[in-house]
Amino acid sequence: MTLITLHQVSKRYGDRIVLRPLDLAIRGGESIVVQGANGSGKSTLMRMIAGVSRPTSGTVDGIPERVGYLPERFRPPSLMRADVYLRHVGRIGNLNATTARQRIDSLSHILGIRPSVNERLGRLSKGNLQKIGLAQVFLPEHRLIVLDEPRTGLERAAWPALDELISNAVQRGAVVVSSEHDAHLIESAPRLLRIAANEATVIEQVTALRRVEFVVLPASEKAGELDRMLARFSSVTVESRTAGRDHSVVIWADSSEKDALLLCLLANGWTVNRLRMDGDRG
Amino acid sequence: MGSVLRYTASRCALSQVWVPPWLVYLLIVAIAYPPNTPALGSLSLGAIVLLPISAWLCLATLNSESEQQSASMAALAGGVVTYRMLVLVSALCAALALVPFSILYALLHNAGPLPVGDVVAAVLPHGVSAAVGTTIGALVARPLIARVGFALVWSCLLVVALIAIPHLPPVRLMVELLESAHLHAGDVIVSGATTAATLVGAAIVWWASATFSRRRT
Repeated sequence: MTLITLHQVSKRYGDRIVLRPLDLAIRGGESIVVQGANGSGKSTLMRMIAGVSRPTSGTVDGIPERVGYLPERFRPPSLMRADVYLRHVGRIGNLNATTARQRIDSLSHILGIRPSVNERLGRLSKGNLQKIGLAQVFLPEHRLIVLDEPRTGLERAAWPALDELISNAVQRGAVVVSSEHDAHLIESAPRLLRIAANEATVIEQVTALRRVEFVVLPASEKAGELDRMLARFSSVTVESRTAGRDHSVVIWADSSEKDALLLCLLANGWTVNRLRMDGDRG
Repeated sequence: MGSVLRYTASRCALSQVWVPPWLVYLLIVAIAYPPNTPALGSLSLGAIVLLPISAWLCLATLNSESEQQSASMAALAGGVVTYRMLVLVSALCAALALVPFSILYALLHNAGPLPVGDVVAAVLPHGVSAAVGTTIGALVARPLIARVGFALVWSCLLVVALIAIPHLPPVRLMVELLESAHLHAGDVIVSGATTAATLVGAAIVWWASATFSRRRT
């Protein structure tokens, strides 16, 4: 079911066009990635989707009353303690004190906020401050979550935690809109909104456009296991290839499943001879 | 609603942005209330001084939060308009917190008792001043006026106009009514109606400024 609908949404400041008219429908339980160069209008679009900025023309329908929004630069009150700040966020987000405390503890643990959540916000490192920003967004269970460059300043080790939080939100039916610069995240996004020259283009099923070819060594004694092993991958197709005396098995998969597939092959004793992205030279 | 007021009060208490205007007001009250004169004369001064002080408090409250943070909290609290209205209510509460001090000091410092009717008559112009001052702050704060210098000039002009033009409602009119030695029934009606109209007008201007601020961001 469509949750958010953008109809001919555009934004200009005076004579300067920031975003040209855009139509977009986002379904509940969908994650959409926004990609674009600096100054391309990503943040403006995110602000309009979050409902904190009004389009110059067009309408944004379906914005829930409360939205989890992480701005590009998260600047909370520097003298306030992080836990006190998050408790305020919990109260404003209609959580009762007990639930808020439990969620704060859980999010602090998941995101790895160090040294503790009792520090003043102004004393936290950039990465930990970003984690507080993420905790703020995921503290109440919002139906719409807008993350403007959520990985800025965030250590790589915390990325899986963020991915898990996003995945959990999507699974419970929330819409997650995030802007990303990381090539892997962009290519593995199920739906991509690319902004260039202030014009947004929606690319559906990005993963279908970028498939990965695995060439694995023939393992005749394990050939029977292959179909069973690959059954849990929805995008996989298998073909046998013989060139002269050389025989190989070629597996194609969507890029969203490539890491998991690679791990699965290696863990089961298969040898990957070659790995190639669709469109790459080899 | 209460959660946003609590957060704003906590934020402003930590950053101490309310301390300078509060101190200035208390100092003015302590120095300028003349001793051994009728309390109503002093209270009219208190009501007039509360106008620029409440504009200052409002400006400090709104401008002390970054645009990004304000947007983030607004999304959480139910929208830009709702959030900004609640922050304005917080600023108004900060201004109204000064009223008891003004009345108490006038009561202690001046000759003769202060009847309950006069206390009520003094509270209304203070309330009107606080509401109008907060409205001025709402109009000159970011993002409507980005530069503090321009905000200061505009707020000074508005404050001076509201105080200096004789019989101009609501602030000057309310103060003139307070200064008249005996309030007649007609004056009470005018005073009550002016207060009610001011509160309604202030709410409309707050809403309009909040809506316009969403368009500007």
